[in-house]
Amino acid sequence: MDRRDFLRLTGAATAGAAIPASMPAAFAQSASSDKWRIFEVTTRVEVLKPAGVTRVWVPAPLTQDTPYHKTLGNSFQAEGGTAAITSDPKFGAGIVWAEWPDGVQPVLVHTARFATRDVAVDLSSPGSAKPEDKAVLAKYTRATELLPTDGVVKQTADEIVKGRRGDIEKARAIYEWVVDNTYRDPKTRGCGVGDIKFMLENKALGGKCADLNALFVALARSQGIPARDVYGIRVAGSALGYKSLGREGGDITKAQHCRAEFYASGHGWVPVDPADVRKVILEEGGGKAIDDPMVVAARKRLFGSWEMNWLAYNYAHDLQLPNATRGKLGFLMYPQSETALGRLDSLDPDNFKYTISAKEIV
Amino acid sequence: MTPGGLLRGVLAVAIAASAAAAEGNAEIKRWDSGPTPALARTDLDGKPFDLGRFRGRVVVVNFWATWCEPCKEELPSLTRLKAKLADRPFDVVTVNFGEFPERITQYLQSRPEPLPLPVLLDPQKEAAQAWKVGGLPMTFIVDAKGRVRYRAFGERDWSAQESVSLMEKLLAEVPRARR
Repeated sequence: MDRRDFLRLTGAATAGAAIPASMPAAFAQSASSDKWRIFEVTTRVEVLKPAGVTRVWVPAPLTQDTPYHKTLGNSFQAEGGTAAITSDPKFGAGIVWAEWPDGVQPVLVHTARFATRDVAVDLSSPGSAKPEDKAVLAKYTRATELLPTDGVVKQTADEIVKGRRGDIEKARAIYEWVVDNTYRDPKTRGCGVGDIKFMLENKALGGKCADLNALFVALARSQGIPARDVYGIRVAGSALGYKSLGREGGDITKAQHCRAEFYASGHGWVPVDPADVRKVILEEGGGKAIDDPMVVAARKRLFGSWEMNWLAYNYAHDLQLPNATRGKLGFLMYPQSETALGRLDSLDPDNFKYTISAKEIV
Repeated sequence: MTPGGLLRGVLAVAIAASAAAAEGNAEIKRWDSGPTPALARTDLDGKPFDLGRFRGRVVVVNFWATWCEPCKEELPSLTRLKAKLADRPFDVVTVNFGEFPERITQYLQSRPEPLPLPVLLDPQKEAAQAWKVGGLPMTFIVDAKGRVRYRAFGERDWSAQESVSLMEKLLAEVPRARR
């Protein structure tokens, strides 16, 4: 897509803009609470050392409604530049994008409002959810660059699900395997890169959410079970008593977190989060044993439900950023930027500074 | 103990062993990922480097970053390895993973000792991708015919006798006239 097409399709604005959500979705989860909470999340990105034309991309909230999420609107401002919001054609990932000419200090401010509520799926009885579109299920069963579904991934998953019948039982076996065999490595940079073939081949099973939940997703896909990472960010503390699974105080700059879903016929998309079980083990109260009641409760809860103190961004993998000069991203969870020197390191505060704040509106 | 409990126990030991390996004794494995990738980059001083021109020499290629603590702890052992084999057709070259020169220079200047090894730049991680670097530190050993023979993921004392012996073995394959 060239820039002109991009601008035409998205309705670019030079100063600021706001668009309403959203697109219809075929979802089937049931909300575990009727209480919707509304949050406002503001992302401010500044490129400290611009060179030539500078571009910035930030993830926007989910562009489709789900039982646990509704995007209420996006607004953005890029003084001296051009800004727009778009969604990628394959995954529908919402992306706010801005570009500045040489000589301008690039600052992008994006504010998103969304409503969310806790979600849980009752897997104890057959569901009656409307079936998901077959093309969608096919998309989330395919391999991606970082999530191959053959070789060591398939071999590992074949062993895990041996003797298990049905997608729910197989997905549960994979979930339990990830919890039992991986660990949260606090030294992992950011949320990890999610190169799961490397992890399995090197038996390097430490990482963070983008590694551990990606393992769940790829192992599930290798068994033909539709599954997807859901990239996002924590926006509030946990009301369930898990200090490690929330972010208090409004500054959520480093609170990025991805979760995962798998699809079960009759139930729709089922929320899971094995990485957060490992986070409870590592961080809660200075560390807990795997059989600690708090860990056991989290482990049970995080197969089939999510506490929604978290904003979902997108499901995208191998994402081509609009108008980018560099290649595809494995996933979009952090703000991104390019200058004439190339793509900047999202985690390098010397070149690329951003703050993300959250506040509850209602 | 239940079978599940036993399995978890065994896995916990395996994970602990893996964690220990990452703290200084990473395993050297044979390279089994096909042909040797190209490595043509510019170093921190702006000089071009091309691995293809190092035929006849054994070369250790180490990928590292300033934010990677095990990488930084490992670098002095690579310097010692180079010193131990100083009079041999042997080189160590480092490739920085995805950072700009300012950051690298800032780090190198903050070190108590200088780093007397070439630092190649790879700000867009193109070389890292070609070499399938999925974690750091990652080190490759290239023989005198320009073939990657071994790789190691994780921190390691490269000046220990086991590593020196492996280099000696590869150096023994170098044609006599060049040794």
